[in-house]
Amino acid sequence: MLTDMRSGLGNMLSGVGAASILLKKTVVSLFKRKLEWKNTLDQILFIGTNSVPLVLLSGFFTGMVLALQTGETFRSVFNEPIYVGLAVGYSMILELGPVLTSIVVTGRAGAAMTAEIGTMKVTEQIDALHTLGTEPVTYILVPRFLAFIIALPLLVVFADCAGIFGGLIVAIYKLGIPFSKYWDEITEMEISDLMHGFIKSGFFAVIIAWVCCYNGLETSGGAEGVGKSTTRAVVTAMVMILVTDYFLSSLLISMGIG
Amino acid sequence: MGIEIKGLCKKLGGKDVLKGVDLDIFDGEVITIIGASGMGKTVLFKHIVGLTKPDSGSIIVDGTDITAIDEDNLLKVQAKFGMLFQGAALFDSLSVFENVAFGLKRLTNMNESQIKRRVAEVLNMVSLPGTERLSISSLSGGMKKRVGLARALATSPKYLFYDEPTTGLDPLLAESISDLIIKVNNDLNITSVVVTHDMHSAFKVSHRLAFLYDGIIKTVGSVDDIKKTEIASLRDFINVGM
Repeated sequence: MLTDMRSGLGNMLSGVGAASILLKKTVVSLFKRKLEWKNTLDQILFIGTNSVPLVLLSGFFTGMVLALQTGETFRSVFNEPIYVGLAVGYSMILELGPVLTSIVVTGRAGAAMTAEIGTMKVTEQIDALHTLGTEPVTYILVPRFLAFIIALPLLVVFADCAGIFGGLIVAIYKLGIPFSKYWDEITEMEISDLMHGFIKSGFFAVIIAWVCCYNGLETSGGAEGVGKSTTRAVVTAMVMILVTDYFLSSLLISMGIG
Repeated sequence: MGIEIKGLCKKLGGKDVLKGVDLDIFDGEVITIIGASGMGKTVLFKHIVGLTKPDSGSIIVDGTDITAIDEDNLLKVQAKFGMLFQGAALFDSLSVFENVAFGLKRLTNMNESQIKRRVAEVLNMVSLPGTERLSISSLSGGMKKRVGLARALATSPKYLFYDEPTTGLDPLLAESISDLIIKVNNDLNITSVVVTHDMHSAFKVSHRLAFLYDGIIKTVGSVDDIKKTEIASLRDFINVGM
């Protein structure tokens, strides 16, 4: 059993090492080699544009349920639904916007990305790139990293807006809060609050791209292997997002951002 | 100058797959590496083209040891290689034209019209004229192999590697792929390395054959030498294979 644990720890450490080397290669390649513009734009379209409806929908209903729960709780405590705009605005912009959007995008685009790269790996398409004068990191990873870093923060802005709008609908029509009161509370937020969510989404973008690309490239064993690495990528990315969220939030708050 | 493989060793999953492979590949020849499944043919093949790093040993391509150079220089050496993979390894998100033109756009200074001409030329060479616009998913297994060969030939490589070129094909298609290997070698004088366990094809296309057994090259020789071998494991392999 001790041997198994030692071997498991060894595998984990070697995986972390290999993933770190991959990240370093990607960053070096980003600055050193010519950017694959077409691939990058295709990926921005896939990760960003195609995720907009899902992100809007999840943001909208999250904002609605936040307003409903906050309003009803405060009504039972203070006899009136106060601070609904404040609760919805801060929750969406500081936490739920970045975290929820990252998780939704991991499930939609990250999983598809791991499956695509994994399939390329098991069908030797990655090997074929080498013999066609193309570094796989430059052709596959850099466009996906860039696309995530560009698209995810923008998707978070969409989710924030949809959430605030969803909260507004519930506030006005369900809780009877006037528009001006709700909106005044929303506009109490500062630029640093927006930056808090924006910076976090940038970090989450790197996590999703890194974890999903790494697991795709590590795929072996045919269709079953593709399924396993896709599951591993999604679970790892989601856990890393949630864990990183706490530490990053602590750091940003201690720096006075948000 | 050719390719020299010296003392190549590789351990995978705790098992010694290659235990000191020595092999010389001469310019202009068709050499076939034969051996049973699981004997490490594909592992050896991936080492020769620089897709895998050995635990020890060297692979010298035209005077450059590719086991001791960085990735940028390895890419330059790999530009001399064309490769037909077992499953063709075509990029399924791209059309036939885009697949064949892929290397041309990256490894040559050709303009768009020159690339179009070259793609048409190599597709014609593999008997698939006018298929540029087809998607990869619409191709049969044999057509995929031919497009894979066209893609490998497009950049006029010095060395062409074939990994199990006839596996999974019906006898007629397998025969036509063997004919193509011979045609490419005769017409373009490209050094060809074939990895296969299809003995019929191996005897047909090769100038020399190398028998990989238990992690080493047990013997290398002409078709006649191999047919007359005294090595029991090779004799058994040929008899079963034919």
